[in-house]
Parts: sequence; C-alpha cells; structure tokens
Amino acid sequence: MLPFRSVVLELTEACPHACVHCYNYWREQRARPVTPTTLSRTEIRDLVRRIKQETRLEQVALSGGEPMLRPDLPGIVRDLTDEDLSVVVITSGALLTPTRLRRLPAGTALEMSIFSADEALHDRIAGRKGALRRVIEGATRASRHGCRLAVSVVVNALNAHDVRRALELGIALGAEGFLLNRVNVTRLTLPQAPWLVPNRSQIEEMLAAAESVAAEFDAPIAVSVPIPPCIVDLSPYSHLHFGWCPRGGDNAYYTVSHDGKLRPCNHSSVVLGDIRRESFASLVNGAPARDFWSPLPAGCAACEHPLRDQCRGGCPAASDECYGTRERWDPIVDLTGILTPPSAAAAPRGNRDQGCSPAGTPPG
Amino acid sequence: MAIAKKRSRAPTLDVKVLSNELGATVKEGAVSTARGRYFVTVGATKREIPIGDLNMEADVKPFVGLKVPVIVSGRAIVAIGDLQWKRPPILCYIPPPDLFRRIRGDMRATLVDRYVGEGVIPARLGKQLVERFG
Repeated sequence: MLPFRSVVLELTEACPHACVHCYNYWREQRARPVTPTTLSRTEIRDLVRRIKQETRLEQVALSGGEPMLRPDLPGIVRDLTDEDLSVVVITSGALLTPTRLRRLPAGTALEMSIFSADEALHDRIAGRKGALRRVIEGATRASRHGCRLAVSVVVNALNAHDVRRALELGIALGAEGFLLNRVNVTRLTLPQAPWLVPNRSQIEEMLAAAESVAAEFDAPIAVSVPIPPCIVDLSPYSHLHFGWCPRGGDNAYYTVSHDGKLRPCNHSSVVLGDIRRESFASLVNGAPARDFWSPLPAGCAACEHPLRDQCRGGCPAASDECYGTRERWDPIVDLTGILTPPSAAAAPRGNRDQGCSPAGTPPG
Repeated sequence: MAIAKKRSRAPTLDVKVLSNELGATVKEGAVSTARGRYFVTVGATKREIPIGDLNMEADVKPFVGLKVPVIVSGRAIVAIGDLQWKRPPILCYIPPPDLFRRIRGDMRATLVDRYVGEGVIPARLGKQLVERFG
C-alpha cells in the first residue's frame, strides 16, 4: 500500500482566463473543454478506484484549466464522494453560475482565486475583464449553496501590495481556508520575470500582511509554494503554515493530466506514463519518478539553515521547467538576486524553444 | 464533503528530543475540557486544542485532568504529553482538509460592511453575506 493521500486530476485544458502567472505548460486559450483524448467520467471513476486500491488516498483535487467548464463535473464530484473521498474543486470562481451550483453536491469544497480587492488589478492579472465581479457573485452563491470555500491568493510583483485586502475580501465572502502562493515561474512565464516575480521586500510585505490577517482574524493561511529561507527569514511569521515540496514523500500529489498522463506534480511537464495503461504503483515506483525527486541541489549542499532539509532547494519542478535540470535551486532564488547562482549544469530548457532571457512587458 | 475519519494515535513521542530539534522549551500544562472543546493551560495562558481530521478527540481525551509536557511554537501547539500534534500537510495549490476553520461571523460582517462601502462587494450581495454570517 503506497502512502500517498492526495492526487490532482486536471479535468480539462480549457480556461476562460489568461492569468499572467499561469504555470500550465499546456495552456491553450482555444482548448475545448472536452476533446477525444479527455478522460471520461467513467474513466475518472475507475482510475480513482484503482489509485485508491493502491494507496491511502483521501483527497482528490479537481483542477484544470477550469474544471467548471466540464458539463459532467457534478457527476464526477458525486462519484468521488461516493468513494468516501474528500473533493476540492480548484476553480477561478468566475463560472459559479446558479445552474452550475445547483448541480454541484452541497458541501463541495471550492478553492477559488482572488488576486486583489482592486477590480482592475484582479482582472488585469486574470486576463479577463469582469473576472473579480464574477468571483464575488459566485462565491456568495457558493457559500449560500453550502460549499466550503478556500481562497488562493497568487502573489506577483503587481499585487504584493494588496495581499491584506485580497485576504480580507476572501474572509468577507465566507472563505474558511487560505492559500498564499507566490508566483512559481516556468519557462513560459520566465520571460516576464522582471515585472512578474516579486522581489525580496515584496515577499516580506506579502508575508507580513498575511501574518497580520492570520493573527487578527484567526484565519488559517498556508504559504504553499515554497519560499526558500535564504530569500526571506520565515521565523517572524508564526501564524502562517509554511509548505514545502513533498519530493515524492507521503504528501506527494501526483497529477493526472486530462488525457490520463501521470506527472510528478501539477507544476511539472514531465510525463511518467499513461495511467490508463499502467498501474499507479508501477509509475510512481518507476525509474523516471525516482529520478525526478533528485537529491539536494549542489548549490544547497553547504546550506546550514535549520530548514534546509525541508526546503531542499525549493520547487524542483520550477528548476526543471526553467533550467532543464533539477540539480539547480528554485529559480525564485536567482530571480530575487539574493544569492549568486551556481554555474548551470545544463542549458536552460527555455533556450531550446521560447528563450529564457527575462524580458517582456506587463499586461494592461 | 466526505473525509476519512478513522485516525490512530501518533507514535509515542520523546518530548525532550523534539524540543531539542525545535529549539523550543518544554512546559507543563493542564488539559481540560468544556462543552466538547479541549484546552491546555500553560501558566496563565489557556489555549484551545484544535480537534479535527488530523487530530482526533480520542487522542486528547486521555490527557484530560492531567498535567502533561507541552511544546508550543508561536501560537501553534506542537506536542502535548507524548503526542506530537499533526500539522496539516501543505500542498502547493491544494487546501488540506484541516486548513478549513470557521472565522467569527461578526468579524466577517465588519469586513463585508467595509468592502460594500468601498464598492468592491455589491450592496445586494453584502446583505446576503451578512445574513449568512451574522
């Protein structure tokens, strides 16, 4: 019996938004909600049953794209709760119409995004005018429908100053849990790094804002995407829960693409195999999976920070996506300019296709 | 939302070893219960012991009425007696089940009023939200 308790299912590639920080390597604005290769409701039910037989599975996160675009989402949620699984739907929150909510089982947990309490800024980050207005409408409806709400605030250089108000707005809308995710770069977003990635003082600003909200409102806030402690001293923020990459350990959350491809996590484009053809156990125990969870990056070997063994260089998927190797530390360390980067062991993956040199201009 | 409920008690813990690892001080606390809630009093400070899907009531109940070693880090209870408190595993982008916690209705209502006043939340929705939380 494998120890894993969580798995992510990406139900669709389609999404009405075009978030500036979107990490999905396959992001495609013209994608259709369901394609001939998309896992059907029956296939999803069957593969989750198989994973459950092989693991200690307790929680399934339904992601995308925008999972609300799947017409059979309510049925998928019901199938999974019938399997005695906890289900959370990760959504923009902008498509929570009365019709969709009526069909969704009451008590479904929804994680939705609020980037700012400033409508223009939220919409600019989401890449869609009217997005925040729809999130506010949807959250109010979802709360009345009996859904449990979590709010995710993805923080970049544009909205780091407005974290407190974004969290407060989430509290006002009925959220009971909060995720504070600093932007996690990929080869697609690396060119935008100069205006997208928060600097050290902006990261401190966002943590201080979240700390004060957590203390004042007794609000549970998880800082989920790892912040290496060489960037910022995390010790002043005792009310925040800091997360680290589980690196294939018990808390790993392997991710199933819409077409059945299993990946190490939602941030990685590495395909371990097709879960429609191979068992979950054979894929996560295989050499590609073992190789993915690489040892400590060489640049972190001399680190003496007490959190070194939790941090282990930050997000290995981000390193892999940006540099083409997991033996370098998280690119956030280089982008915040705190440490001198080690010499690259491999050419940045971005150089092979889209160019890895930070450049570009902010939207709007 | 269906969440697996069966939990077993965590393995026996050596509080001294843990406190050394954390650089935290072991204090003595008295565990009490009232109206289905559990508390630990360390010195003059009484803290509620969070009970949830990760930390079950059955794990805490045996300590009621006893004085036990307690490790506290910041506001978080790390260990009570020989039981290491489980923290929710934080997963990128995914809220763990134990992350959810109700926030006081009056505090929510104050924020609703503020954001209605600023024009962020439409007044008709603000009314619905206050009715729900108030």
